[in-house]
Amino acid sequence: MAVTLPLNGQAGKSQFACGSPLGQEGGEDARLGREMFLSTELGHHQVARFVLAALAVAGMTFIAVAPFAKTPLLQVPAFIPIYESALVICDLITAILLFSQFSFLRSKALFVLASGYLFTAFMTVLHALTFPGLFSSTGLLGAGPQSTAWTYVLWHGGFPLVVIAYAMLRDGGTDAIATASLTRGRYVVSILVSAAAALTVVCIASLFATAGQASLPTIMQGNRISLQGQVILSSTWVLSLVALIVLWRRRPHTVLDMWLMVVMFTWLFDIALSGILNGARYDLGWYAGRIYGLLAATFVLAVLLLENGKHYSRLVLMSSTLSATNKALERKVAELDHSNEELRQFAYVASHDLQEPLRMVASFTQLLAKRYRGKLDADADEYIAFAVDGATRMQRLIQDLLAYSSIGTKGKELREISSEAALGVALTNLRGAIEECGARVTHDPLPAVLADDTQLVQLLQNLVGNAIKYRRAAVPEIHISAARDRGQKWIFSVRDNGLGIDAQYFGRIFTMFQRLHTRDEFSGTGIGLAICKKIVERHGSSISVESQLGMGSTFRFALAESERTS
Amino acid sequence: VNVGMGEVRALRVLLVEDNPGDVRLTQEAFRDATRVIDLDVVSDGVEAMAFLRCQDAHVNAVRPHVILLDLNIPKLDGREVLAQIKRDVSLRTIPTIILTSSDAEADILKSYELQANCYLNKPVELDAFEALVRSINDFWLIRVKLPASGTGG
Repeated sequence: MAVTLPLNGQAGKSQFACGSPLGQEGGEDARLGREMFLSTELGHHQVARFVLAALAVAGMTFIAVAPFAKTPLLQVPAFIPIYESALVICDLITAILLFSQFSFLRSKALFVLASGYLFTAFMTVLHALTFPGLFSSTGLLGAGPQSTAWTYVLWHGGFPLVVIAYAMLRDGGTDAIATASLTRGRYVVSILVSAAAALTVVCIASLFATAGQASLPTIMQGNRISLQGQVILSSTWVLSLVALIVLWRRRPHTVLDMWLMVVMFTWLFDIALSGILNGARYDLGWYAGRIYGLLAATFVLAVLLLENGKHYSRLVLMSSTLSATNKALERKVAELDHSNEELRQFAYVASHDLQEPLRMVASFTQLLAKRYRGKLDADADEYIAFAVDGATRMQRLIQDLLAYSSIGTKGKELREISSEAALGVALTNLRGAIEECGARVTHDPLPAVLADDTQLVQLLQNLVGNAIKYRRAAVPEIHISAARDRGQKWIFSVRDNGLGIDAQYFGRIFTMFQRLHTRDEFSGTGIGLAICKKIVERHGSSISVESQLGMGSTFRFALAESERTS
Repeated sequence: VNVGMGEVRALRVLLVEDNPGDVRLTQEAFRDATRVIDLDVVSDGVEAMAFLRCQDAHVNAVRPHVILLDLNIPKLDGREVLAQIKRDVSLRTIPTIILTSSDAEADILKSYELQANCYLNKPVELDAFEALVRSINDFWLIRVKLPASGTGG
């Protein structure tokens, strides 16, 4: 049976009390952390309403436009560069914002998605370069009539694949937020890797679309889309649908997931209008599809930017709350210091000033006892004896109180000392008691420790003194030993073959003025172990007892080993 | 000490103590001691200096052989009294024993810095107090060779 006392009553209690709220705070932190990021915050009803509204508008517009998709409109060649510049910029900024989230969250899924946005940005550039009649009549990079169409197919087929990969890699948004962001070096390297990968894929795609276009199936017949082309474009449409379904099935949905679903939905309209339902370039479906594409590119970006603004305001709010909390905390600490100091002063002054009048009472009752014993009647002798006893006990209590309070106020700095030497001093102080009962006090070699020498002497003296006082055998045997802990601590044990202590009293024996015996059995104020506890706590450790009634006791405490021996 | 022509002269002790209880205890303890002692008592620092300099009410005061001085006394603090005694050429040869309830390191150090001849702590227990007074008697009044009265002044 063993009981280990917490550092001290107060701190122990507060530690214990802190235990569960701290846990809750941890959970709170994680929740806050998740909410800090679009990619981890779970989508709530408000987001869902926005998403549905966006989908409804997009869907109704689609229904309105779809029947007239084949209506030819004016050919505006400038539309492509304007629209695609906007796309590139949106996609690049989205990629950058996603990378910055990745730097905090270190999520593979985010890395893939950010890379996907880089990929679409590069593909858009490729699309513009190969678009016939834009930079040259047939398109740059040796583009043929199918190059632009195949670029479009690879672009609109590639991004859904990225989204599917993102959805598969996503951890469900329930993982703990990484506590430390990536180092700058690793961050830069990962962005470079991503850009290189995206660029490589785009280069390979461009090789396919330009040099390899002759061997690929024909999509465009002039400005019109072939039947074969419609099948190919339909399959990219199906890829977007698959991406949408995969996203839908990976629950719970984060806010980012929700908006990615909107993007995929919009892409469905985009591809349907500009690649399947329309008939040729520059008809209504073609223009409308591009507008859907542009919208799709802005969704995630807009939400990310809104989120950034929200975070910034939250940051400002938090920092002001934090500084207010800090100030309140500082005030509390100051108050606490002040009241602690007052309490120490009070204990010291009270016991000091109490001593003076008490010395008078005690001295003169003792003088009375000495001079007048037997000269008055028996009652008077008895009264005087009680007065002397009471005053003497009160004196002892006050002295003990003074000793207890001075552990904190008069403590010296901890230095390296020999615990064996300290034990030697303690045993010398106890010589009278040891010789009186013939106690056998033995000890192992004891280490050098970091301690206040006066207090260590007092500690050992109290423990050995108790072992002698509460003896059971005719010859008390007391053994002091020290063993290395796993850390840099020495665990000291003071073992005796004395009376032992019932387990139910383990907690009480270290409390001030708690006694397990009547004054007739054993004298003392019951402060010895309280002083031991306070001394051990001042050394940053705790004291424990292991005992069984009638079987002796072992008191244990830890002290830090001195640097030299480590 | 003071053994001149085979005659035993009474030793004069000045007790500077404001607590009448302590005064009484000291008197009682000295009464138990073997030597004949003339114990003069003053209860504050100003009076102590007046006594030593034979001023005011103490024009007829007789120079003590030994001074027992408490530190915490009214009007003029015991430390200041000690400093004045040790600054005074005519008084500094009188052994001055600090007898106080304070066991503060600072008080002990300060007293010796001011040339106190010894520093004694008033014990809490009556027996111990009596023993202390006895030892003061045995040491300072019996064993110690004191300067002849009036030396230096």
